Amino acid sequence: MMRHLPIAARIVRNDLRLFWRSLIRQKLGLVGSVLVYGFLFLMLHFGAWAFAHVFRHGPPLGFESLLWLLLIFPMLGAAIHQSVTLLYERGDLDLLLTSPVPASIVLLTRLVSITAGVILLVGVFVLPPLDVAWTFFGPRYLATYFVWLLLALLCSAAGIMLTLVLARWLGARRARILAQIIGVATGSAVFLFFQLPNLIGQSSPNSHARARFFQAAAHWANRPLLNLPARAGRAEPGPLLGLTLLTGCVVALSAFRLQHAFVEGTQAATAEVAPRPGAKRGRTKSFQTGLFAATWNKDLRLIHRDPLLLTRGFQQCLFMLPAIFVFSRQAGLTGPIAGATIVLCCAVTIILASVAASGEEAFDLLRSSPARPRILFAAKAAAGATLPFIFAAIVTLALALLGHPWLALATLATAALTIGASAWLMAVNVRPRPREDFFNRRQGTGRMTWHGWTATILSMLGGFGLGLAGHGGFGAAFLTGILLLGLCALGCLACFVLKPVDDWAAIMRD
Amino acid sequence: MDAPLPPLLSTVETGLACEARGLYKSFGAQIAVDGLDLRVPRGLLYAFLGPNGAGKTTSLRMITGLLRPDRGEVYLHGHALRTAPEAAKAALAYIPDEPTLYGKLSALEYLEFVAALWAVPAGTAQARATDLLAQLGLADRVHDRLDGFSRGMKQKIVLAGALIHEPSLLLLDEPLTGLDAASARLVKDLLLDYVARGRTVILTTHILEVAERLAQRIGIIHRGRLLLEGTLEELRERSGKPGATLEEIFLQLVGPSAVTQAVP
Repeated sequence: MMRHLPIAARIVRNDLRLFWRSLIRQKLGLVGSVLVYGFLFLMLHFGAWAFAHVFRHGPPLGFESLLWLLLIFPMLGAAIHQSVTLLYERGDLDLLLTSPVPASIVLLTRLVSITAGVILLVGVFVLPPLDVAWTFFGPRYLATYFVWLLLALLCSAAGIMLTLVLARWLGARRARILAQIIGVATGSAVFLFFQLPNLIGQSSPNSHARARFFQAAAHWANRPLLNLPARAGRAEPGPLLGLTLLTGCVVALSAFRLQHAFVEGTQAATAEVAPRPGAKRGRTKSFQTGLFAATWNKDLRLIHRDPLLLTRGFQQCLFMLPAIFVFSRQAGLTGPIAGATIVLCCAVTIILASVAASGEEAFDLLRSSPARPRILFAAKAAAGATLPFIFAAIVTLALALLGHPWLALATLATAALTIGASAWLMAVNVRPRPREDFFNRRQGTGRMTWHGWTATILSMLGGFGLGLAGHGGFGAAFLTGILLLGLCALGCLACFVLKPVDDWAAIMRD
Repeated sequence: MDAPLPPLLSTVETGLACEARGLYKSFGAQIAVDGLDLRVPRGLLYAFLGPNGAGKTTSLRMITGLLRPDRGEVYLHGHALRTAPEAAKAALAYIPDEPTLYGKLSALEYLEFVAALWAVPAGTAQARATDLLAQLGLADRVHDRLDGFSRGMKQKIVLAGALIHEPSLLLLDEPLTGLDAASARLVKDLLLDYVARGRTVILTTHILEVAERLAQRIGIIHRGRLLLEGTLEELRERSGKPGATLEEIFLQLVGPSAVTQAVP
């Protein structure tokens, strides 16, 4: 075992180097990344320090327990993400496993690398409260660092096992997608948790209601097994030992599963998928007539058959949830729903239209065909706009049925304008890139273009305008709302009129 | 609005399917194609040979309009690719060495889309798609998604896509890669049948025996320049090696050091 230590360290170092490069090769660059993360790190320390003053005699166990439990979600999400990347996507296991390095060492290094990735991914957010905890509440909180490492190991082992179990049940390819979706959903869980008070306390979401919610949650989290990490973090020997043993068991099980899965050769993520026996055979539909219809149909199929893409798209939209509550605190639901529908539909359209236009998998096929680029990108924009428009139409119908026909009409009109403008702007401006790299920041795709910003601002104007106008009454709010709606409409029309339509044609030619 | 088509050139009268005049392409300091002149008559199979990095794929990509040449012109059935790309491409199909497919479409859905790109009427396209898939032995997989297909099956689907609009000029970059013996035979028969119906095929291959058996004319490119071109007999004559195999002629021309000298 010891004689393999140097090569194991080298493999881990290589994994970490690749991980580091994937973090750094963003638009910020090395210096920018260090500055931004450094600033964030300092501000989080400051915030944690300020927050620590709330608890003069130390935080309650239930509150600590709640924080540890909440930390598990992003760590598990990161672990699943890392597992999928290192076990299935990077594709270097064939090389490593055919090398003279024993398979057990290779797989152990993978576990270490996944854990290191999890620690690095959440470290910038976890370290500030831990630093403040022991300096503020005493040195026994130094144990929190160890607990954090244990939890990272535990989550990594659990993430690996989950990914492997899915691979066994569903086959490697489907498992990879499902694991990615679960990772995305788990990663968003903390954000959703903090939005819960808004969701369940619509009628009186004031600070008291929010405090009551978190008190109840802390009370729930203070249970014998759930508070194990919190008690271990206070350096209580029993829980510390228990958590260490639990982690050891899960890690051992995970290592066994890894060995079993990869030595048995079930890891082939890119293996062919045989047609499922007894699977429903497709009905031969008539071919679509015309380039527009066929392209629209094709892109719509590609969008709705890509669950990972949809999940990631909707995850991005999730962070717009607070916008829904901007108006809901002083008014009823109809105005905010109308406004939020516009904003959300626009956000989804931006993603879907970008995917349809830029994530073109067979771009050479399009370029070598005599098809007119203008029709192609119009169909792609339409494909990106279809699902959001259907959603907007459903909301509109609901509003009309609830007795707000004028608001429903205004919502439909604004939605049609903003969705159309967003789809148009994205479809004619974005450059094609491999579809699988769409959410990969290294490809520069995570960057919001000015077209995306324009579309977002237009939808915000329209959404806020509708929210204000939908309040009821004809006061200043209503007039402001109408003014914003007017600005939104003018902006959308300008997008259609002023935007040169031959950008895609130029891309097609080059 | 369609751009007005330029007057038909002499290539139509002389029966040329493809004509490249002085094609030149460089990537930085690296010259990929250096003044390539190519004249491919209609109704034959033309094999375009060369060592790795000789400029075959770059040439094909310029001929298909995927890459803009730094200098030179391409005419496809008399239509200048630069000024009348839609007319030039209408009769063209290209299969790259690593074709990309829409993995989440079924075989039939893929063919439906390709047919629409070349404006094949829906009814005709559907009938042709069914025929082609049956011919290529994929009749029972028409509704399966392409991401579950093997490399060879994907190659067949791409070939079906290329043939669905019945192009008069088919360009293939390493079409036999990844195919098993039976599939390779099927594709070769399909190409010969295609040429027998008066259409033109230009293919690149590293399997010289295939070129020797299938091609009516052969061009050998090295370091971006066309070194030799003609029928096998003409190549033997010009190389001064009567009775030589294509492999012997090829190695004499490009030399064993070609691999190390090749441009990317």
